[in-house]
Order: sequence, then structure tokens, then C-alpha cells
Amino acid sequence: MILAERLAQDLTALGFILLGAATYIEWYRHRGRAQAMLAASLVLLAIVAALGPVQTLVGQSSALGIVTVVAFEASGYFVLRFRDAFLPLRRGERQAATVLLIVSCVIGIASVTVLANADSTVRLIMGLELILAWSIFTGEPIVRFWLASRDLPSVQKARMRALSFGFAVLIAILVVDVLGGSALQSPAAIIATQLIALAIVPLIYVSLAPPGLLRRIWRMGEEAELRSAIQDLLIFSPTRQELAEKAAGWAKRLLGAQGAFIVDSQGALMTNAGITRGEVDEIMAARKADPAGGIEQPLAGRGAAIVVPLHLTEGTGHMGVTAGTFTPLFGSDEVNQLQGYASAVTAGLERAKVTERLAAIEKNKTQFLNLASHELRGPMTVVRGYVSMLEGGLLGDLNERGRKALPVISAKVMEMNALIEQMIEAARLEDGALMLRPVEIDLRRVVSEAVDAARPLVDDRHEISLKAPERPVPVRVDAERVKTIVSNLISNAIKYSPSGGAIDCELTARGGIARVAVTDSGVGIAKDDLPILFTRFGRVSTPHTDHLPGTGLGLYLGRQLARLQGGEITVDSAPGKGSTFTLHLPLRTAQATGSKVAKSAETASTSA
Amino acid sequence: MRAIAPSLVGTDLSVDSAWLPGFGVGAGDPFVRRVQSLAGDRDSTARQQIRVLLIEDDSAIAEMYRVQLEYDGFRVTVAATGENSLAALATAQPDIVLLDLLLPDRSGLEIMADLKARFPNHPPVVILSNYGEPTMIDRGMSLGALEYLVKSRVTPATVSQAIPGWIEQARKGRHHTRN
Repeated sequence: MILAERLAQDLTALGFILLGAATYIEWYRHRGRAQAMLAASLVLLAIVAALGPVQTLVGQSSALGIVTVVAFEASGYFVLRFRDAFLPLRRGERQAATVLLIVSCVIGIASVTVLANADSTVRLIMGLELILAWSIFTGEPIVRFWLASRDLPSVQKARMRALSFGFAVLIAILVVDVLGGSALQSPAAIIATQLIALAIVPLIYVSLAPPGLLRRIWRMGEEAELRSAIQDLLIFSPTRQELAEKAAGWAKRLLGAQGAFIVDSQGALMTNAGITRGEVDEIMAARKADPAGGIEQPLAGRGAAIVVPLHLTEGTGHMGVTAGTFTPLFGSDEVNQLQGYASAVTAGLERAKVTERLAAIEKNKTQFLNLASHELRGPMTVVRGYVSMLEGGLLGDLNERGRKALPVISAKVMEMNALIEQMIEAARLEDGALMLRPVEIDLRRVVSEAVDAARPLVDDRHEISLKAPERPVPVRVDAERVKTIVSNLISNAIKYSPSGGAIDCELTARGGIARVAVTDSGVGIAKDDLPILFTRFGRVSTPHTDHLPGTGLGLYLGRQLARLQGGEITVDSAPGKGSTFTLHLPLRTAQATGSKVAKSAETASTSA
Repeated sequence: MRAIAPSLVGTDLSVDSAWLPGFGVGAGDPFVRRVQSLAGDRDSTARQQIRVLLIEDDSAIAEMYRVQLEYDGFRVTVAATGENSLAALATAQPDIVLLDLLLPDRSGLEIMADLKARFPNHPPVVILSNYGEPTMIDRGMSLGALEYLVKSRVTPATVSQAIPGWIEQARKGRHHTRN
């Protein structure tokens, strides 16, 4: 049983030695102040653990006792300095800690030398002081790390909590070990505590120097959130700049980094968060790692960085993150993660560039349209004015040839005027400057006006008919614009049935929707051509229709204006047989409109 | 006999929304405001008294309107800048002002505000502009304009024919308000 007890104690000691060695190797690979402090602490603890079995072998000696007690106190002190590297202590606190260490060392040394044989009360007090000092050194960081973790993003929070947890476990082991060693008399209990301590050792290592797997688990929460946000990030960021800013923010969160930045292919900084412009320049200038992405050694006084390339069409840009005090280690896993993320960001930046270019073109087009149309109105005023004065006979008599030319000029001027008006309306629509003037009205009136307005265009080959319900069709619309929409549909019907035929205009009201259907028996439209009908400047090009004048704006405006009023224009067509264009508008219910509709219907009947 | 009268009746001076060829003008439209026919007031001797101040910087447009208005018997003064227009207002004593909004030195809306402040009994103002945006129209009307017309939409004849009616309207104090 004694053998088993000693074996258990030796195994625990071996566990601590391995922990010390592993931490030392970790420090050797990623040099940093925090790592150095942690390594010092755990190596000292390993020494304490190792000296136990040595003492049992070579017998008690005051020299070994001094080393043990000093190493023990110093291990605690370095835990506090480890915390200092993350969350700096105040100067006074650091000095107090140093004083406490010195006092404890002195007491410790005294306890194993001059006072080794003092009475039990003195020895107890000395022992309590030593444990208390060590508990202060290690206990303070536990609380501090836990408190500091509260406001951090999830990866950093997990890192801080793991640290806190690691130290708590460390204290637990020592308390169990020390108390167990002295209080427990049963060998079985001693073996049990030793085995528990041994089992906890890997847990300490994992907490203090989290392996890739654990760091991946910490990232999972952020990754899940990023997955749901990535569409918004990559597709809906309106500008490159905005996308870069958001992407850097996510890179920071994802890796628990302190800073993140993106530089473009020219080396110009696109965005930086948690890192200064100067620091980015330094990191980029000192870049030594694999061009495909890798860990950059920390510059003096800073954390490590990961820089990965962004392969943009105009050249290679870079995205980087920097480690801060709360950042878990950067390993190959983090590099892979950032590389994967970088390819998504690259795609997003490319998309944003195309979108920006398209938006600029679209804006230019609208501005051009606006300017051109307003500038055209001036000259049009003069031409139209003089033509009308010529027609009025005010500018003198024309001969017969002139009198024949005049109506043609007049018609063409009107056509041009209408084109200008359409362009202005389109520009206004795209600027969002179009203001509707809705009124409550009987749609029958509007349609009848539109048909009347179209009658002058009807030649002897066409016949236009209007069918409307007996009862009023109440709607709330911009009457002027709806009239123009319907007139346009009728004018199209006439234009695209060059060999004549009936033009049927039918108004119906059913299911809360009013419909104005204009049917012709003209050239019709092929199914494939239907989508372009309603696009701006979209005209179907066929041998039958190419010679006909038109702006390609009428149906575009019609549909947009209908939609602005809660309606729609639909089309049904068969090539060679004719087309039906239908304007749909929401009906006003009788309750909602009340007497107003009745009144307007009354005026309609009196004016008709 | 001049042939302008028939074209005037029911002439559409609607706001900026009709964009279809052949429609909107003279189509007999009950929804839009129209210039009232002025039957019996086509006697040029009666108009000899009427003085019109035309504030317009585009000389082609100004000249065209002058030809029409003088032909119809009005006395016309043209001012091409905002500065000149205020001087002309004092010297020419117009009965009505036709005002363009885009002038080289200042906007027509500023002139209107000035008029209101400096000449409480100023003659009626009709805005003739190529800006047809509803916001502009609303601003012009709220500053007290009798009428807001888009130049490319009207002809000199229709404007000329409407002038006596406008003066009458202003004299009776029935200031037009838009709805």
C-alpha cells in the first residue's frame, strides 16, 4: 500500500513535470511575455512536485527545503505576473506583490531552517502565511479573468474563462494535495487525491494553452453567427468600403483578435479596426511568412499577426488580424480559418466593385436624362410657340405647299414634346421625385376621357369601342396619370395594328380590383419578347414594327406608375393575332369612400 | 378675323404629367384646370390699356411672346434680369407680370418674395417656367402666383388670351388656390 501511495504521488509529480515541460515548449514556440510568465510558473511548480519524491529518496535536507518553498511561492507569483501580462496591474499592486513574495520567501526559508523546530503554533502560522500568499497570487487572477471576460466577444470570453478555470483547478489540486497530504491518514484516500490531481493536470494545460480543437469549439458560436450574417455582408453591402469595414469586424470576432485590417492591391489601407494605421504599415513591411497566408512573428511589444492575401482582379490585397492580450493562440488552424474567410471576402469585394460601377452608370444615365430633358424644353418652347403662331396666321399667310407642311411640322413637334415629357417623367421616377396626386374618382370617367382623347388618332381602318359597367367604379388614383396610361395603351393598340381592326376597351370591377383591358387584333408579341416590353427604352424589334416611331418609355412608365398606385399592367399576346394589355388598379370599397364616390359619380353623370 | 379663339376654348394648362403625343392639349379635360374662354373680350382697343411685364432671360422666348402679345394689342415691357425687373415694375406700372423662374442673377421665386415684401399691392404674377416639378409649382403658388405654367406646354396665343381673365380674377380678389 505504501508503494501504491508513493507511485500515485510520483505520477502526480511526473504530471506536473510534463505540464511544466509542455508550457516551456509552448513558450519556446510562441515567445511572448505572457507565455514566459506562465512557463516560469508551471516549471517552478514542476520543480516543487519533482522535489517531493527526491526528498523521499535522499532524505530531508534544508537546501532542498529552501528550493521547494521558494519555488512554490515563486510559482504563485508568476501566475500573478501572467495575469499582469494580460491585464496590467497597477504599479502599487505589483510592488505589494513583490514585497509579499520576498516576505513569504523569508518566512519559508526560516520555516525549514532556523525555525524548523519551533513550536507547533509558530509553524502553523508560518504554514498558513505561505499558503495564503500563494492563494492571493493565484486567486486574484481567477476572479479578474472571470470579470474581464464578461464584456468580450465570444472567442475572447471563452479564452478568459478557460484561464480563470485553469487557475481555479490549479489551486484546487494544491489544496487537495496539501490538506490531503497532512489531514488524510488513510493510504487509500491519499492515493485517490493523488489520482484526482493527476487527472486534472491535462485540464490545466488545456485551459492555459488551449489546443486547436478547443479554439475551434470556441469559434463555433461566432462561425454560426457569421454564417447567418455572411449573405448580408457579402451581397447587401452597398459599397466596397462598407463591406471591408464589416468584413474586418467579423475577422476580429471570429478569431478573438484585437485588431483587424484590410489593405487593397496598392497597399492602401481600406479599413482598420483595433489597430492603428502605423501598426498596419509596420506589419505589412515586416511581412515574412508564406505569401499564401501565415503567422507573422510579433513585433516588439505587440502580439502575433496573421496576414492572408485577397486575390482581387486588380491585384493582391491583404487581410490581417493581430493578437491582443485576450486573444487565444494563433495556430495553423486560425490561418486556415482566415484563408477560407478571405476567399469569401474577396468575392464580396469583387461584387461590390461591380455594383458600385453599375450604380455610377445608372446615376449618370438618370442625370443625363434629367438634364437633357430640361434643356430640351427651352428650345421646344420656341419651336412650338412659333409653329402655333404660324398656324394662327399671326406670322403671315403661307402658300399652299406651306399650309400642307404645317400640320406635319405641328404633329412632329407634338411628338417630340411628348418624348421630352416622357423622358422627364422617367427621370423623375428614377430619382424618386415623382409625386402622385391621388383623388377619389369613378374610373369610368377616366377611361372614357382616355378613349375620347385617343379618338383623333383613330383612322378609318380602326374602330374603337368602350364597354363599362353600369355602376360606378370607385378608385383613388392620380386621375391625370391613369388617363395617360390608358391613352398610351390605346395609342399602342392603334400603332401596332397597322392593318386596322377593332380596338376594344373594356372596364370591369371584380374582387376588389378594377381592370381596364385594351385589346387589338394587330401584330402581337412573341412570348420571348414579353419581358423587355416593360423595361426602360425596351422595344420589341420585328420587321412589322421597326418602322413605327416610339420611345420605348410608354409601357415602362405605365407599369411603374400603375405600381406606385398599388396596381399593375399585364399583357397577353399571340403573334399575328393581337394583344391584350390590362391595367389593374385597387378598387375603393363602398364603405371606405362613402358619399364622396357617390358625389363624384353624380357629377360624372351630369357632365356626361 | 384671327383664328386663335377656337383653339383657346378648353385649352389644357395642366400640370406636368401628360406625356403622350396628341393628348392633353385641347382634349376637353374636366380634371384639369383650364384657361377660361374670354368671350367678348377680344377687342384690341380694350387691351390697349393693359400693360404686361415679361421677365424672361431667354431672348428668343421673350421676343416670341412680345410678337404675340403686341399683335394682340398689349403693351409689353421685357426685363431680362431680376434687377431690371424690379426697376421695370416701378417705371412700366404693369397690370400683370409674366415671370420666368431661372434668371441669370436671381431666382424668380426670390423676386416674388421681394415683390410681396416691397409692393403689397403688386400686380398679379403668372409664372412661366420650364420647371414642372410639383414641388416648384407648390412653392410658386404658395408665394402667391396666380398661375403656374410650363412653357413648353403652352403657346403664346393661349397665354395671351388668358391675360384679361387673370387680371379680372386678381381684381375681384378671387385668388386662385390649388387643391
